[in-house]
Amino acid sequence: MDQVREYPFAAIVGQEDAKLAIILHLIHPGLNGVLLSGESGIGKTALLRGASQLLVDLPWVELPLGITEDRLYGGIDLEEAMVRGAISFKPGLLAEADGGCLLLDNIHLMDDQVVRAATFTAETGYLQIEREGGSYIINSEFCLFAAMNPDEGHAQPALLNRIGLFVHMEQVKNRTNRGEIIRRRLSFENHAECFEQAYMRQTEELRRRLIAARLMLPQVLADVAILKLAARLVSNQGFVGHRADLHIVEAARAHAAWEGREVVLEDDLVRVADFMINRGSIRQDDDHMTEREHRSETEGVDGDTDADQSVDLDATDTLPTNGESSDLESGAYKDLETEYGSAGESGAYMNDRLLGERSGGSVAHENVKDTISVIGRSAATNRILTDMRDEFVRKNPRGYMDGRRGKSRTAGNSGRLIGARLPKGVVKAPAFGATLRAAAPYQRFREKHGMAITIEPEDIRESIRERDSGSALLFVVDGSGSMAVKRRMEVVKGAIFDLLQDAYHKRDRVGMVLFRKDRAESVLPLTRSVKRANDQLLSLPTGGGTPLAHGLQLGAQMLSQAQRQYPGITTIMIVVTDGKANVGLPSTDSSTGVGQAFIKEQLQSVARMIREQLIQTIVIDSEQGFVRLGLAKQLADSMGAVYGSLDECDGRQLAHSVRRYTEML
Amino acid sequence: MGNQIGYPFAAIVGQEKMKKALLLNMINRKLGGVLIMGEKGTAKTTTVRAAAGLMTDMKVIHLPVSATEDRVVGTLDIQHAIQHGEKKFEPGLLAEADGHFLYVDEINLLEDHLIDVLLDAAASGMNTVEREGISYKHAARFVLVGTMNPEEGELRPQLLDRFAMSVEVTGEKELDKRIDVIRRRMEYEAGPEVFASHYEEEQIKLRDAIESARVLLPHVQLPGQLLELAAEIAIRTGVDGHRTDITMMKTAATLAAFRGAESATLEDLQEAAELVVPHRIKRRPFEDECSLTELLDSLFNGLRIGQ
Repeated sequence: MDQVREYPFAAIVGQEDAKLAIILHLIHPGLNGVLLSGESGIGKTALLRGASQLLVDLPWVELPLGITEDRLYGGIDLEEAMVRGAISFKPGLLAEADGGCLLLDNIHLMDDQVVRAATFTAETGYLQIEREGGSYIINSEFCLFAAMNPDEGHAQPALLNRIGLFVHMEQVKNRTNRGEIIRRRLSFENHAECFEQAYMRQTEELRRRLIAARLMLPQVLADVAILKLAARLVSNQGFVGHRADLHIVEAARAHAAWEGREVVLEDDLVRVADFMINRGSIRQDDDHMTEREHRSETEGVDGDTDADQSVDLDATDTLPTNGESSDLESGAYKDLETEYGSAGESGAYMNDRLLGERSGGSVAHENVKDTISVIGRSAATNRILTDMRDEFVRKNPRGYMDGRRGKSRTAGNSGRLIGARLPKGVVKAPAFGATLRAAAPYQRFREKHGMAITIEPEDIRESIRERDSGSALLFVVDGSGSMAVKRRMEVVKGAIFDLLQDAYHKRDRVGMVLFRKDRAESVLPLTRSVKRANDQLLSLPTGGGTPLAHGLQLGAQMLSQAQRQYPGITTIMIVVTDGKANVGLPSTDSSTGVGQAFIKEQLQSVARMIREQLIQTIVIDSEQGFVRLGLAKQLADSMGAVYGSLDECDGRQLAHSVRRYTEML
Repeated sequence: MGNQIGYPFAAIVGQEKMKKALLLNMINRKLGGVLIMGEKGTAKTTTVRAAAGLMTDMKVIHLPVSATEDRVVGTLDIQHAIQHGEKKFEPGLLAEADGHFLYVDEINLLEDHLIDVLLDAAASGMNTVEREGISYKHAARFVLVGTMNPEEGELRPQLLDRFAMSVEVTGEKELDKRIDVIRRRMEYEAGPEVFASHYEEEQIKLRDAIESARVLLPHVQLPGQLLELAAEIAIRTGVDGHRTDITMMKTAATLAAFRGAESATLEDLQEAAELVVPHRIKRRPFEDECSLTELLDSLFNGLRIGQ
């Protein structure tokens, strides 16, 4: 293969903040990583790959999307075992990055455990693994570089809680500069070698400066005045915890080194302050719950706990851990763990004995009790919940299914391959590599029958794939009418934001279909991104007729697609309407004079279709006024849906009811 | 390929935009692929096959929606390992597609993580495999062609941004053209070789044009004014990042090369914009179809008057 040429770091136009953050981390590996956040096509990958050319003597390892456990942590070297009968360990990518840099592009697309492992190791330089019958310790110190797209989803809490430098990248808006970006990129693609040459001088200069700064760093001192200033800066900004002061000082030291100084100045602090991530503000914009409120909630009104608390015992053949809170750092970070740690999710991963602890200090586990309690704020909520629960039980006499939320790791053939395990029962999807590795050490003692390897039944391992068993929650909302519609919108939007913020824990996707006038439209495609919801739901048009059938049809279609794209996902449709349909499906020829009876017929056939697909439905009745027609209830019945009422319900309560419902499934 | 002569590209009626998009991607393999949006039965597969048929060394690799990760990305060759005790990589569809078309029908139904892997490979031109004890890297330079029916679903914006261009195909509306389509098809089925021979000359001309364009492409001049105009279009339409601008210019350059011109013009850029921009515009719901054409017209007309 030809040598792959990377676009030169020095040739990148603008993005000075991102460039500086990367450079600072290259100077000072102790800064705990850089996270670049930005929209598609803004240059995140170009920056990270370009950076790989700056310190060419150091190892640069990129974690590819489909990486399996054995290549991440390492595993038995198959060939060594077969050829020499020796059990030797082939290091994984985490170990290969030792002394250099590890790249995680698109972390929002990566397996959570992979990101967690990389982050833990980056922080402490140490990871203890037990797998495939052996106990291994990985010692690896590296710089961590990660990139994400906020429109697609969020970064894993494990990462956000630890990452040192955060940069949000914006588009270059200046026309001339943008034109220059295009010109350079095309020039690079057409004549890569020449282009590289053109920037050789600048690249060399960068390298020289970088190396000098790295050498200088140990001599760089911050005096007491600087430390005091740092503390003040940090508290002014509202950062939590003492680590923030230390961190900003370390970053400032790196900056001073970069500037060729052995003394840290105020300017250094100010410059790096932009890169500090305010853990308290990670919770994005729409803040329905303050920290205090959330904490009192998790303490529980009636001690209800998340049914899904139980750990995914099937995940591995090692011992399960309990979903209990473990050693949390005292002080400020405690609240963060409560907010962002998730036992349901991390518990399953902890089964792999993913232990990142060193002596004290760093947070080892994220096994925080994730209690979803009843927000017993009003009788209305309780009523909705009781009604829904009764309805659900009535309609599903088999009873509750085994609750399991978030991502589940199961044997099977669909979903992303994560690793392997000893089979449980009939093997559905053999993991060949793992099976061979299990068989390899014993080849010396076995009959070969002309083959190089003999496999015994006890060698067989099955593949674990990651299936998205979170939920897709699609709101199908009636945007017709004029009187109550505003409130309806506010309640639904509130619920959507609330659910998305909880998506940190549950990995659910939330979307919205709006129907009004003559048709239904998707106003928010299923997403985990709060930012996306914010952008899309900012102003929604209302008024007009009620094309209910089209709303349901479109909703069913979107959820059906989700079922195919995300195997294992639970699909739930939440219809908010008063049921008074008066507009038929768009394909309906209006010249035939659409009567109410016809519309009703259409509605019934769509409702029937939904019931036949595996889409769970909730109908929330928005009917107001004294005289109730009860059409929404009729709709619910025809769809086999659970029924609830919007009366006296606000966004949070609606979100909560939906959450409780999904847990029952 | 195979026993039967494929349907000739030159014989395809209409669908000018789709044909153009495919041709551009064959001239410039690094353009970034085509997303074809349309209902079933609009000759999508036939056209892609026919395009590959123009070149002697290109074929169409199908990636089915039900494909497994192993099949797409490649995996450990078990048989070889068991028989010879050696680790060997068994290539997947991405390896097979290197240098060819990779065709994904109903791409909106493909498992999410597979789409990610696909687009990653398409963007970097390489497939990096780290799984099941195997570490392997290979070239994966393919032209990605995806199809979907916009009425049956949608793609994430980040995925849309990865496709260089998109085209909408509809069935032929004009009666004459429809009859033409049927007539030709029947003629082809009756005698493929004879049918193909009628178009042989045109096919050869097309092939030569593609080859010449390939040679000319690296030397096509891009006036600074055009670059800024591309940037302007991107800013005005509010698209994400910089990929749109860059792709617009690459497409304009390719169009110029195809014409045999040494420099890209306003017309090239306009045509490029119409291919590259539409699927990246974020539409506000319940608003009328945004009028990219109007925006482009006003921008370009303003420029022409100023010239």
